Amino acid sequence: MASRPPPGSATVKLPDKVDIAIVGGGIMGLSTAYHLARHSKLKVVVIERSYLVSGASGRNGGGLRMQWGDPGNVALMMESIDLCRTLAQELGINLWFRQGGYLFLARSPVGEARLQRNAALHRQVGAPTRLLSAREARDIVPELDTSDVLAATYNPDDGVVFPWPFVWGYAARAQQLGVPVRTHTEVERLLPKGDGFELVLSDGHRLVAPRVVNATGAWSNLLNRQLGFTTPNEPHRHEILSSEPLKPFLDPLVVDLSSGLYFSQSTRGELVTGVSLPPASGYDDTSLSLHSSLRFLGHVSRCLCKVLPVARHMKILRQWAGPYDLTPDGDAIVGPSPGHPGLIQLCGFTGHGFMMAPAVGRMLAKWLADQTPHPMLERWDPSRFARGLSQRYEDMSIG
Amino acid sequence: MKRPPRVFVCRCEDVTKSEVEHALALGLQRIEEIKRYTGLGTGPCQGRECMAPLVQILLEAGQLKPERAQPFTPRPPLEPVSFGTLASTPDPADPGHPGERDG
Amino acid sequence: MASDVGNRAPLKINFDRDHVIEATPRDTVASAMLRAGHVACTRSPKYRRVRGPYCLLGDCGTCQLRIDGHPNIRACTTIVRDGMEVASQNTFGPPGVDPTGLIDHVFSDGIDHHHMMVKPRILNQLMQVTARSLTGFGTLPDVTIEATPTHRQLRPDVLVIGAGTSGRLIAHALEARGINVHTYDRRDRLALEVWSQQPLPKHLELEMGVIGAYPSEGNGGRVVAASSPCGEDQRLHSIYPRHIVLALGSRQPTMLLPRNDLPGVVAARGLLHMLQRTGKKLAAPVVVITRDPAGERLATRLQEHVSQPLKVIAHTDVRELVGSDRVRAVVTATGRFDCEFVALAPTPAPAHELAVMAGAAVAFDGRGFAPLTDDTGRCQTTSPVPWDLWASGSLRGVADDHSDQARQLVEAITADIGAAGAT
Repeated sequence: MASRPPPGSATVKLPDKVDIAIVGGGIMGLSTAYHLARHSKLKVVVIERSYLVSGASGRNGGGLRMQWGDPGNVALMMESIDLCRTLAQELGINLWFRQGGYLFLARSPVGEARLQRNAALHRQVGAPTRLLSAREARDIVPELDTSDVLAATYNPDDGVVFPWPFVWGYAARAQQLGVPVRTHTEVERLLPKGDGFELVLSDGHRLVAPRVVNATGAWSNLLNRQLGFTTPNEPHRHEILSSEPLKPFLDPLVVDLSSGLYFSQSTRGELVTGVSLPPASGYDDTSLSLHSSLRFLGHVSRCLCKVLPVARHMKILRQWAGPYDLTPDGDAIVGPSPGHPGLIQLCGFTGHGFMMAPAVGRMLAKWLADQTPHPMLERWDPSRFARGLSQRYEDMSIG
Repeated sequence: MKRPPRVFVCRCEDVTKSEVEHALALGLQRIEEIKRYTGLGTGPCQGRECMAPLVQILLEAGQLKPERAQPFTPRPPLEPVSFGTLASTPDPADPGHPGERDG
Repeated sequence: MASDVGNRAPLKINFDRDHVIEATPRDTVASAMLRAGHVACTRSPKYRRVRGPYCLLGDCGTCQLRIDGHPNIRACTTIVRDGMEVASQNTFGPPGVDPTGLIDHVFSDGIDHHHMMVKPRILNQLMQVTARSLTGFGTLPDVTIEATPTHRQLRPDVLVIGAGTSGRLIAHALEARGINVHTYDRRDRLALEVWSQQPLPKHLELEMGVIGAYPSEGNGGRVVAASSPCGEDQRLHSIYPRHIVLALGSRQPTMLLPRNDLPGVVAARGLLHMLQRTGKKLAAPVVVITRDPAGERLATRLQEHVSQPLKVIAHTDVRELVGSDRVRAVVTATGRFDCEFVALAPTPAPAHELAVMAGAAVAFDGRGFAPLTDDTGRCQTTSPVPWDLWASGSLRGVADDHSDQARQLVEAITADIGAAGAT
């Protein structure tokens, strides 16, 4: 096998001073690092405390969709999906990006109205979403039970990826372009120093940077607290599983709006499915623990067997959990921190960071390099909560 | 030129010894990251057949100290079980949840 | 009871539509297949190699077949029934083309699935479509008999997982002291009777595998056991134990030898168990590859069930295994030994997975990962768990006589339960 750039290294040498230190080697931090390396002359490093894909970027279901309820998110995801079409070639690694579409099912009048609104909105913005009848939904996935489905929408450009190589691809290419991606190294202390910061790393190294990007997702407040403040995002354990590998039978990712269940079939043939659990006594855990639960297995099985009856006889291969990084208004938190303009937040993506990262990394890199504005960056301003400008734009957060 | 025959560490996901060595050469060191990069242990047996040989390779390569070795996280279910069977578990959020009763 | 079955009228199972395989009620699908000369179950996902049963004890992933409309069912743990429809899976290959040979030719250096055919985009898209059609094993289920699953909750003082040698000793002794013990084993009664002569405990759930331990589950930690997914009787048990005795035994890892994946390469321990179970001698020539004295002892026991003299070879002497669709010979520095089966006798590795899930701290012990325990078998835990954890038998590294260790463990648990007040 030919020699390849390493996707990250526990031993890569770090400089003493950089222009931007990115904390967190998930897809957000690495996409930003890659675009900074491509589009600027800034000196950048990425510090990851564990191995690459150890956090939410390695634990998600790998879905990418344009089907959102808010035009800003639709446009953002059109851009992200457009980038993905050629990203494998750009990064030099197989991403297994497959545009099998997303199929949303509505079983209530409220859900039906949302899908009708979405279809009209998506056409305006230019996304090829179609409103379908239950029967047409079954033409796409014959195994579905659509007996109480009132409406469906389908966008053939939506799709799924295998998440891990995205992360390795961004990391390897960023390293090739001169950005050290240091794994298994923790930022033990973040100290204000002059106009910027000093980072004390777990290997004893000290790194000075005028600007630091907090790309640690659900863990971001652990870093923020070192400077004495927090942002209003909170971790939430989300569970997911994959089934035994089966021959391809399912093209789109299917979402059942009434339960929040989603399922798709990976390139390896596994059904990947998840759902958020309704609140229940004894299950109010909000820690960063990533344990699996039996309750999830029961709940997801009931939701799945209802919409895909053949799943009754399908077996489960493994279950795991990952942290969602939830914000009060469902929008991300991106930009200079209140009181610490040199610390740039890049978090709060509420379970959708993976799909948005290709576009967001480019957008943030341009802003970091030459202050190129973007309407979403204004909307995601971390100070919006303190200024009373927080507002819910989106009602299509799933899972 | 005749290539040497393949030596399989993980037969489920078709991971050969040379693929593991390739991952090591890339600088991947930990069992969890080698598992993800090669796909080893992610198939139907979930690592039951390949875990011990993988540790053996890492020890021989000097990449791992025996006292620091830990297995990759085992994930339920350990035995085959269907969605239909699991759907029979009571949900604590259901109003009709039978509660903590012996069956 | 399964052990009452004799060798009366032969059962027939249909294999890949065209073949009828005769079997006895003592057979598993795998034992009937192997005796009839069928060693292949599937092709592998990447290199398209023929694969068949290896461990024969329900652990490995390559004896999966389509059985009565259920995809991906382990042949080695499925007991035959008359008229069973059994089919291999994922066998794609154009007529007359040997996919393994083709791939060995084209990808002689191996397949780097991350970097193969990334460019140009059109080739990449074609590759992805092809890869998608080749991966996956079975097709969607097509099941005609619908089972209604039943769910039970149980609260034993002691849950013993595994009724092999040490598990049944401990469970039996605790039951004799009047303690509320439930024992689970994924095997059937015949498999357990063949395994050891020791009596089985009274409260024994057979053919129920423990699928997981959930120490952080809300409203108290739980252990969950389920029956086989293709049986007509679907059972799921949620267990809230005070003590868990892990008697999970050990597994048969592969041995890193050239072409160690060929069909016909099986675990010596699994083969011995299979032959003991069926009571039929194996007529085909067998080579045993050993690593240690325990492997040599295993070969001696295996000889009683194999008609021809076994050839026993130390693994360090093996140059390669030979064959394409199944193993044909073992080559060493001194010669070539033709055979139809190669029985690997690796050093068994502790079955640590459930122990880790239940909260046990484990460490590498030279064989695999074993729980860290005190002298009585009480496990160290990695975090607070809602039960007391104990480990016994070959999970702990005791190879032969389990009785002393079992006695100590029984004393310690009895003392604990006595102190807490028996229920």
